[in-house]
Amino acid sequence: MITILTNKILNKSSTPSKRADGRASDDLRPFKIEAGVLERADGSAYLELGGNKVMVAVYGPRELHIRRLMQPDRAVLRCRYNMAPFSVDDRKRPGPDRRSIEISKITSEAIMPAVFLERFPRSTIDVFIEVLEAEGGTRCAGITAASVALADAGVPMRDLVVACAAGKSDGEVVLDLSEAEDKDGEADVPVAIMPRTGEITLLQSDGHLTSEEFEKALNMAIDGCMKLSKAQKEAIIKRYGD
Amino acid sequence: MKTKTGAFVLPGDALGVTEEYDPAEWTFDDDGKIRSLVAGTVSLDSKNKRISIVPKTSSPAVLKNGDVVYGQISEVRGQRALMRIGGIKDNKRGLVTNFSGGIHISQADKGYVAKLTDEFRIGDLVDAKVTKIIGLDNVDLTTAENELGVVKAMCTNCRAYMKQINKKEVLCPRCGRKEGRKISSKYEG
Repeated sequence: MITILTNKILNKSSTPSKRADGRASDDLRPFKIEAGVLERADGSAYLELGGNKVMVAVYGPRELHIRRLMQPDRAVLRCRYNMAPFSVDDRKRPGPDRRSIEISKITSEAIMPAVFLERFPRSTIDVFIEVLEAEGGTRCAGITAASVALADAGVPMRDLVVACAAGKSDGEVVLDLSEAEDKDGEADVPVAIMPRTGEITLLQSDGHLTSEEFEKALNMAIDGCMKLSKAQKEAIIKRYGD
Repeated sequence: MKTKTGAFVLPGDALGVTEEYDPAEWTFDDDGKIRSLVAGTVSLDSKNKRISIVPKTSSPAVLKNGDVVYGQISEVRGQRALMRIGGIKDNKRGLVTNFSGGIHISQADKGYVAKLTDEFRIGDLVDAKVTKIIGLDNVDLTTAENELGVVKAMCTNCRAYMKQINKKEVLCPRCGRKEGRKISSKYEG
């Protein structure tokens, strides 16, 4: 059932690499995306990006029992980003913490513009993002996988939101930071876009960048998004196309 | 932007223009362009000038006319029996919101019905067909078909599940009470 989509972009770049894993500055880590991996969820997806392993389940649109959250004219999109205790080298204390609450919030806000929530008044769409293994860039991996899972659930959407990070490590602006590059690096810029229109739905910036570096990182991240977007579409075609 | 019937499309893929076609099921109008909402195959109706998508994924469970639903009777009034709808038959996905349904006395059975309490009682599990959708979460139902009606009846006396004795009546195996019902051909006892 699981097949590896080989990353043809890898090692094709012109610039010689200074990065620890031998990637060029504008290379993504090898990735694969699979749709419809869970039996009991309405929609699901599995994504690997380098050392990241992320599983997403979508339930709904379904009945919302918490009446104070209910919207009379549209559905609510609830996201839960959760890291497994075994996803990192040191055991992560289970349960939501400050970081995962923030990522849950920004994930739902990044995906929301693409979803036709107004078609399902008074209901909820629940997205559960479980990080099984983490190696830098899990929030982007989560968003990318979540939109595949939403499409798998048959939720009406304008576009498939895709996310990718760029940043600065060892004085060089690079795409798709790994864990080591993120930790020792100078900056991290996660970007989520709707690839058809190019609209940005998430833009964060952590660390120090000059305005030129920021612009370079942003453009690099958008290029990375476009590559991932292709894999997202292939994952759905592989599951449902003929 | 020429699409053909049977082509596989993804959410957001362009299908045509609104000058030429009407955006029908699972499509939307994006500033004059017709785009797909879901992953599925294109269905082009050139006679009626409509583009629709046949979803390949499972779809959210929204009630529409003609759907057969199952549920439990929550109240029986003089003219109307109310039902909590559990879900659509043969659809694994739960409903998007909780719907409540009403079966009018004229829609309960094929012939004349003198008393609605001879057709349904509180707690009965019922199969019914949607005839009309009122607002966001209210529907009108009918059980005037052979395979619609009570699937499992509860005794009003002791709440035990009742056995069918003839076309119109059920018997409680525990207390021996006899009651009338609109019994479905799929009654499970």
